[in-house]
Amino acid sequence: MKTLEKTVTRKDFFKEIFQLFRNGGVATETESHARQLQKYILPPGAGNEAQFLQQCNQCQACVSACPHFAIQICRDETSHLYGYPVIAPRQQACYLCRDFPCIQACPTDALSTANHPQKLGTARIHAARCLDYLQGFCQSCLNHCPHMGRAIFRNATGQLHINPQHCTGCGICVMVCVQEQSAIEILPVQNEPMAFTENVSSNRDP
Amino acid sequence: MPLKRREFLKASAAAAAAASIGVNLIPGMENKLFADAITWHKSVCRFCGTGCGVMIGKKGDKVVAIKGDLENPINKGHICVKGFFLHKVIYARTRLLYPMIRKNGKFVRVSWDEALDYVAKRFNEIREKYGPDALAFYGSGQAETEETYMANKLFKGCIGTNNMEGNPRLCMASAVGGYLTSLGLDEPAGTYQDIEHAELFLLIGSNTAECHPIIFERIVRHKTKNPNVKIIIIDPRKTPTDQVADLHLFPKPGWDLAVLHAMAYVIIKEGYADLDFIKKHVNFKNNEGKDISFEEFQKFLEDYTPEKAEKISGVPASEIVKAARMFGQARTAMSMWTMGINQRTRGVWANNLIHNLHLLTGKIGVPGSDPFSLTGQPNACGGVREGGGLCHLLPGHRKVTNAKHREEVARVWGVPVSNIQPKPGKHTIAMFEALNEGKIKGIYIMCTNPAQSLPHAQKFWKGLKEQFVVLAESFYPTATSEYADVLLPAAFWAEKEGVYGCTERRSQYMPQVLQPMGEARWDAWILRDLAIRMGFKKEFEKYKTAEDIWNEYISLTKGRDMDLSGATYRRLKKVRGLTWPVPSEDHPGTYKRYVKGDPFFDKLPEEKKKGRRMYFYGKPDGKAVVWARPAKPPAEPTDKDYPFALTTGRVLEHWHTGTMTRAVLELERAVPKAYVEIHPDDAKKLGIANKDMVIVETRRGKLKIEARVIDRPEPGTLFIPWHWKEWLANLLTIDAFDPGSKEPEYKVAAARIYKA
Repeated sequence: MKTLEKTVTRKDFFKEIFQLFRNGGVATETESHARQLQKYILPPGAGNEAQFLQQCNQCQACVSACPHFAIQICRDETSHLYGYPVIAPRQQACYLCRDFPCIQACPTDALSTANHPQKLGTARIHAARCLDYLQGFCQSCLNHCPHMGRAIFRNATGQLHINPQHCTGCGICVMVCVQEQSAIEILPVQNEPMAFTENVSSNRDP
Repeated sequence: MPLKRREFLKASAAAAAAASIGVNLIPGMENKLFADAITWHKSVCRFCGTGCGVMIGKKGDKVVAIKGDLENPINKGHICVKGFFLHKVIYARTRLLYPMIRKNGKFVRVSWDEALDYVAKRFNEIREKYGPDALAFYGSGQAETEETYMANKLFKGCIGTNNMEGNPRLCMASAVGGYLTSLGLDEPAGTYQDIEHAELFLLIGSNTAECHPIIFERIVRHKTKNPNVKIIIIDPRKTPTDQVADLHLFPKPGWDLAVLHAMAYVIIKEGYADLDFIKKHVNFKNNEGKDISFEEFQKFLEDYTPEKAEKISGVPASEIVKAARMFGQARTAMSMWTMGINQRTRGVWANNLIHNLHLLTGKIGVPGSDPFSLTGQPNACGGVREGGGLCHLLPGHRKVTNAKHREEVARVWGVPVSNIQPKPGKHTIAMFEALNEGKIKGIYIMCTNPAQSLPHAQKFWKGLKEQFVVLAESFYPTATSEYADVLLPAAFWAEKEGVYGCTERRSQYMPQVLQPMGEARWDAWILRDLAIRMGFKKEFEKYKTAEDIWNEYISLTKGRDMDLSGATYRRLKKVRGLTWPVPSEDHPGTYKRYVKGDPFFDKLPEEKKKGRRMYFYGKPDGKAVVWARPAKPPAEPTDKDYPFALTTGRVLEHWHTGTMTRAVLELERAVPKAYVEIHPDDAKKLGIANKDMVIVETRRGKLKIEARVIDRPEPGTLFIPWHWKEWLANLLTIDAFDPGSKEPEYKVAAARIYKA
């Protein structure tokens, strides 16, 4: 409650903006309260969101093609993605299939292999909610991460951190988080401060 | 009287302060202000053997929250994700609330009187018709010490059968055998305090990060503060524990004995052995138990040079040498191991070899140095190992084969000594085999789930189905309840008081903060009432409170190596557990055994202690034993038809057969189903993609399961977590067991895998 009443000064604002770059994928308490967590990410190969929204004709071919039922039609009226295919990682994460049936099924090139489909976004831990930061011991996200120890790791102080270079944004961590509201979220690739780089680990779908 | 603002504030501040520490300023005043507040009660976590202290938050008559106990020296306020959700387990939808009897194939709710009368009648019939050995008891390392004690008395003392076993046979028996043969007495010499003094950790056959998270956290915290701390892991699978590893050796499953021998070889050859310690404290013995000299032992090790060990185990010789050097150079070293070592047909030997490393280098008996076996269950050490809940044991580390021990126990139990048979009863596998063959006609199962947890489980379902099975459980349905004839609802954690003894010899008290749900009753009272109905009124009617049972039990431990006679309820309620030996009420508990500060060491005559820093008083000459055990393969090595080595294990979010953790939605959604981990190279060869359905097959059965293609197991190794009865890993495991400890080899089975 306290943090809600807190006014954010200009100084605080900049401090937090720059912490985004510094913190190794861990959000501060203020940030966690300040905005809603990202619920949806776009399917693999969507690339730029504006372009995707323009190109997608809502044919749902990718929804039918997804073998893991990860891609669904967004039925959230509050979201600007309403009606478009999305992945809700809290319900079902993406397994980044080797052959990307969703991209193959797409008739309009809204999903395209040219858009680095192996990177959906970057995970971000909300320390204010994370059991591990709250004096507990939990590393469900780490245990289940396909890039355990690289994408999510315990740093020198023994705390969980994200390495955006290795994180594919598949959302398995969000899916398995044991908190009632996930303490980890996926920032879609086009929204994150550090945009996609070529260094992203290439051994997806290990 | 008009009240000034200032006075009012003063008064309310005083009242609030007084109320917050639980004092009422006005006698009889009901404290409205804090009526809704949570009261906290100190207790112990219900899950693994770490023994973390938890605080139970009770609001009204409901437990609403669990938090770590900041004052507990084990976890210092930290708890893992399972413990955090303990309060949700209490209110699980799967709680068993009423006694039920199977009538015409269906469970019918009955009264307690009817259920107990029925069980007593059937048990007495079997006893008269087929003799006492046609009855059996199968207990648990999760039952409280008091419960196991009551069962022990009823079955060994009154009914007169030694067919009294517990599931620690499946997890701890090899560690017991290892400690007994190497150091002379069961249970570790050190405690968790050693973690903060150790310079090197050897984690072997243990996925500490997932199975003992708080111990792992302590190791991580220690390593964070002291970057020179090194961690060696020996495990055929890459696990989350690898986060902190400096060196990881990957032996083929079941072939790691040679690695330990090779490490000993390098340690002696490169001069890391503590010759002075060896001369004063160590005997050498060959596999037959004959004394050999140090030189003969060295000659024996010639067969296990790192190069030869590489051929046997698949671990590169250079890495074995590196590991041995790290072990030798470190000032202090702590080994930790769990099921990867214990659940093997050569479990006792593997345990011996770990002790060997410590004895050869003298890394034992000083702060930070200890071979420390981790326990899987909260009270496997306390209730079953110390309380004597296995077929060859009696309370207080006593043996049924020893006439003096039988007499001592019979006197306290108030039964004729002839009641206690001098021959050990049937161990777990033999017991369930006897059930299959019809030699055992009735079994009482308490607080465990053998239909799922036994190796090669489907083999033993026949016996459970045919014979008379009484199951005392807190949950329904479980895999075992399908075969039960009578279900007795047992009070769950926090609904009963009692003592749990954890890995580091610490006995901790748990209070009762709730009334048992439904008609559930405390297991010890179920056993007492059953005993009275079976005709043992004289022996059992004296128990009125849990303290009565505990006091009788600790009177039995007086003078034994695990002396708990100073750990009375009055004292345990105040402190965060006591590490035995605690010979008197003013004794603070013992940090390390066999050294100065251990009451038994201090009591020894001076001439025995002369020039020695340790005295292993469980051995006749006070010397520990370094065993020359040959390296033996697993019972079922891989071959052409079954080319994969299958191992089973746990995940962080679930525990054992999942009756508790799977009832918590948050944990269940984290890991909702089982999977088989396979290395990407193997998967590619077999055309298996991630999330494909595959069939894993061994000589005993097959299992359709989802594949998880991931680089955690080594090529040639498969891994399945065993928590699910829908994907039952124990359909595949082998029921071969260690000839010494009788512990089955869950960890290695030959398997093949193909696409479904």
